[in-house]
Amino acid sequence: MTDIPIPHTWVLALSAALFAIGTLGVLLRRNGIAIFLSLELMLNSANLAFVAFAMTLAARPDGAEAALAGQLFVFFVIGVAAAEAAVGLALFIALHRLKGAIDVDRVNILRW
Amino acid sequence: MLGNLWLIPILCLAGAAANLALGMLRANKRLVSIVGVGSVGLATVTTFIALSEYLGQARDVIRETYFTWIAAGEFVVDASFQLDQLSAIMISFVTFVGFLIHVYSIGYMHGETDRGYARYFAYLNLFMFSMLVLVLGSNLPVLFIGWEGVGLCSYLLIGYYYEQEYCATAGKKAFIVNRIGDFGFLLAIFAAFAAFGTSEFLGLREAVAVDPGGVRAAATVIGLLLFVGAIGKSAQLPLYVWLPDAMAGPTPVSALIHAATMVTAGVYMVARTNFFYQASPAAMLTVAVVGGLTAVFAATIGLAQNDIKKVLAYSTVSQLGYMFLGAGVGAFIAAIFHVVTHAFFKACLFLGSGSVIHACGGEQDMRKMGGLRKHMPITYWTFVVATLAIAGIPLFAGFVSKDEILAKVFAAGAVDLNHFGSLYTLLWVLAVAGAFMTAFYMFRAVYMTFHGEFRGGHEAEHHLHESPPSMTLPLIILGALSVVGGILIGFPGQLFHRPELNRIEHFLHPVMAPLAAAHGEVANAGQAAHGVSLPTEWVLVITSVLVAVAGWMVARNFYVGDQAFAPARRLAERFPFVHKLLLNKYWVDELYDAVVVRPFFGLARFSWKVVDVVIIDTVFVNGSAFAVELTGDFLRFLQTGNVRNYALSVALGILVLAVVLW
Amino acid sequence: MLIPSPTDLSSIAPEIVLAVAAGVLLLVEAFLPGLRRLLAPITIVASLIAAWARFHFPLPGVVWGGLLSIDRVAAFVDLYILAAVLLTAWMSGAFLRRNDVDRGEFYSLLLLAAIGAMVMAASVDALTLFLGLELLSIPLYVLNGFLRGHAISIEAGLKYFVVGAFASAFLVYGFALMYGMAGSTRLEAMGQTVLDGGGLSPVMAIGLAMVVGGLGFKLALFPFHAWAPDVYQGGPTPVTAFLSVVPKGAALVALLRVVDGLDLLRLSPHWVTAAGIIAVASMTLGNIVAIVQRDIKRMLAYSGIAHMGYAMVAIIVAGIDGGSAVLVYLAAYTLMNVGAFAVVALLSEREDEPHLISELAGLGWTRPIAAFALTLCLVSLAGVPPLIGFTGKFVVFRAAVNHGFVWLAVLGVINSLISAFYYLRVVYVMYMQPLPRRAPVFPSERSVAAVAVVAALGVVLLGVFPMPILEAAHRAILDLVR
Repeated sequence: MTDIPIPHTWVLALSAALFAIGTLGVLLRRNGIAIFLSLELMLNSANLAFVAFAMTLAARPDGAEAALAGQLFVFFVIGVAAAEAAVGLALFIALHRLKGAIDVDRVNILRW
Repeated sequence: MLGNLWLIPILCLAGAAANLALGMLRANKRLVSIVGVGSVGLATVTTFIALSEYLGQARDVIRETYFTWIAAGEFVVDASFQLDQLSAIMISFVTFVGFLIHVYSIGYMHGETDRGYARYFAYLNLFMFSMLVLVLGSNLPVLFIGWEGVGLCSYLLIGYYYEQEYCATAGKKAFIVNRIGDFGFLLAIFAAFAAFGTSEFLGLREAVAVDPGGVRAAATVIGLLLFVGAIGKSAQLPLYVWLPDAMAGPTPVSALIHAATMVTAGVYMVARTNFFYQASPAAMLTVAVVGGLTAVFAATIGLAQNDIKKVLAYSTVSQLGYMFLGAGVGAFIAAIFHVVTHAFFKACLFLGSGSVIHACGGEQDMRKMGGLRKHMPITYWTFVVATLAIAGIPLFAGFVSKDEILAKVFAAGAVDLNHFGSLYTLLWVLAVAGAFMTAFYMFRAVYMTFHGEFRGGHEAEHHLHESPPSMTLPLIILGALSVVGGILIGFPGQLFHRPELNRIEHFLHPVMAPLAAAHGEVANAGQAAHGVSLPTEWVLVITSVLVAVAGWMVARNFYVGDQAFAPARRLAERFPFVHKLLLNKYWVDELYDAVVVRPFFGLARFSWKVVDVVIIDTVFVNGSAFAVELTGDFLRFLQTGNVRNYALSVALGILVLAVVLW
Repeated sequence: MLIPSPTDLSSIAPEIVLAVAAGVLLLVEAFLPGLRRLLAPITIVASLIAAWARFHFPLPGVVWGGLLSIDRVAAFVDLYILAAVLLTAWMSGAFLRRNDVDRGEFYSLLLLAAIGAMVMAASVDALTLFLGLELLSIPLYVLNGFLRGHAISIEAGLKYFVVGAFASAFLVYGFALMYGMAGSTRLEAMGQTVLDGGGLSPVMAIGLAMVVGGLGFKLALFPFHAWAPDVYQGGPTPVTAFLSVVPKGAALVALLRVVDGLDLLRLSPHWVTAAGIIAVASMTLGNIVAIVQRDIKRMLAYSGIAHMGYAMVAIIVAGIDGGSAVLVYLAAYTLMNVGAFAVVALLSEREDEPHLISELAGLGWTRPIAAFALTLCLVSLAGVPPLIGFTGKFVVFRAAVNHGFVWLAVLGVINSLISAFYYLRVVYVMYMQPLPRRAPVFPSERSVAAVAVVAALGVVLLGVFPMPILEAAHRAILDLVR
């Protein structure tokens, strides 16, 4: 199998698109789970961005270490995302217990 | 003791604090007396120890710096005291006379409540503290502290009987009128610092002495501003109005504060800063003119007063005028000399009047007195002695000092001092006229009070008695000083070719030494005195003696014997307007009220009702608050409570930020 | 580089202490529930030991292969973070018991958040900065929603979570971009890139904006502030106290490192404009809307927004003057806020009732000590001398004026004036309004009052004798500035 090189810019573009989609998701969806998904999407698109840049840097003659840094970052972000997911979902569960729904717009006692 | 000059005032301050505490604890009067009188007594003793040490060593000036009080950039002021010949004299008689008056107060005030008694002594001690700080200060700011302190105590003590409205009002009047003068003083401090970079007396003297002609403008401004302060504190025209009203306070207070010490602070201050006046003929002339006019003006009022304390009050204003007149011709030493002798006889007179008032059950109107010499011999004789002194009869205390001043004024006219010779001669004439009036009204007081028959009714006559020893003893001492005080200190030896007998002249010379004359002018009339020949001096002496005796005799004619009061009454009928004018003190208070006080109240009311309430409060303060609140009420709705909106603002914010940073 | 050196380990000794304590607390909660009373003391002791550990070992500077810089700035901030932990833990016990949630997890989470903050304050690499931030945030998501039974607490936790995770995602993406441009995750390298490029390249600018947004969220700066009023109002009050100071301190230092590292003041012409707008908008919005608030916690949230506006002024000034001003402001703010919230904590019988200012009427007479402590803290927040709030503001504004940002200082002062109203209104209500007939009975909790007193004491003492703090900040900042 020959490696089909993927242009680094494409990866970056993809990550940007995913990030935008994720952002819109957070802003436009009312369902808690949907918001969750969008958040995860955003974080992973960031991961993709790191990978994209790592690829770019790796292509440079002395860029091996630099590339490593980016890839390392990805692992940590994954871990953090997982922790966030745990916590966030716990909060949504608590909300559900209280209100019977996880419609974010109904969480509106505190305002003005 | 030298090196610890601070002890002298601090002892009095400690007494004040202790008495305040004792007052709150309602301690008995005996304890309060011991503390109150004892603290001043200790201060007096300390003073004399310091004095003997001072005389026993060679230095002229001893300066003790305690700490740096103000250090704001270049403006540095030390808290420091200065003991030189001038302050030595001042602290001596201030503490001694103060001590005597404290002793007198024990008897005079014993009818007060325990708390009131303690309050009295606390304030009186506080006053001593302030006065001592005033005269010991080595720079203008420290002096000013004392200056303000004595003003405060004056207010507190005038209003001692605060439950009576007129006493409280008198206290307020004193404080407010003083304030006007203080304003000038404060400006003077700033001006002095701006012009010369220092506020220390020694430093200022040096700065001026270097080039007296060159600093004339600055010296004029500073001298005049300082004098404004003196006008207030020492009750000269036009700010004298508080002093007669101040008689509302207890008589020992009048004696101590409004005769012997506080009111002379202005004279002290002028003498202390004599170099400014020596460098500024204009300022010096102003001092002389104000002093001379005041001397005569007040004397005329004193002619018609019926309240014994008011007579003494106007007499004080008049005598202070003499002191300033002396200073105004450069005779600073003579002015200080008169301060000292005046302290002796005026205090004696006031204390004597207190004794009389005490005996008459609080009556102060001389028309209701009379014949008291039978009932109160000690009081009578000390009062007479002091009157002789103030009238200028040789060789009593007042004679030597007042004569010195008159001689110097004449000399200033004779040598055409600073080209104002004719003015000075005119002032001399006025001063002599004033001397006549002084002798007249003082002896009038003596005769009305002590001679003839008692006019106060039978009830009161039964209560007439001599005062207790605590009151008569100080009278005797002060009376004695009124006799010999003058000749001991400053006998005019020059009249007998024995100039060295004028001890005070030599003692104070280093402090008031004339500055190098600019352009050959005679800047200091002290030197001018040498410009008058010896025979002329004798003529002047004899003239003033004759004038004094004349006044005495006229008074005797008017008020003694079977025809007593008749000549006076006839005179009053012949010149009713003049009589009314004098009796109502030229309606000056009424004038001030109409011209100054009422407009001021109007302005204050306007500032309050219009400027403060309407403009500032309603429009600006409430208005801006309303505007802000309105905005807030509007903006709060940005917080929709919807979490997606919040996220939106984050996203938008980042977007905008990115665009801007691009 | 794979094996940490002894210096590396000793440099994070405080964090290790806190981590161990967090574990211990969980174990106690799980296996020794009878020892609940010890939870707070253990936390307090742990923070004290951590503080000692920080100052016992010499500050090594850059450690862990360039990831962390344990310098004097970090030490300075750590001190205040640990103080906040200590005071929060001290005041939490009574509160938690009253609300039936006295759990070891609470304290554990508190400590974990503190570790995150400390790491964040010492980060000189994007990775550790991100990790520290998340370690700080995630426990706080939970802590804000700790009162599970109360709707507003859940709401607070949720809002904090959603917006927070959102902002963090931006932060990560932003770091990705910056990493891509700089070729390294080190802040230093990023700074070098900006310097070499003579300014911010477009991608770098976007990345920076996203990072600033993420940090701005933590600081509750406009326009990333919207969560604050709701979260402050809804969260359990001790958590709010912690929330109002610890993330701010950590984020301020992180922002300082970023701004100074990238030399934004000099190299980016638009930075001043952008940051200035953020600062002024925060101050103004915060102060103006605070005036119309009736709930005291909400009011304090807006006040916090405004205060971060002032701090932002110091960040703009940057350099030694700006940096030391930030540190001083941080110290002041920590004490004032914790003190104020401590007294507020006294006030809630049940956490879901709004904490109305009007309920404080007459507190000056029923609870004189607490009321006085609150007064001191509020007056200090208003910037009245000789309290430390004034010192903080003075240092910031002076730095601004000295570096030519006079208009910022002027706006700051005007805003301080406006703020005086709502702070003093509380004082007025406490002392000059009569007790309502149905006066709420506030529990008398000595520990909470103690916290308030300690904080207030700090406010006064450091205000009257500010020199030690000023000098410490000045010395510390030298470690950070180029």
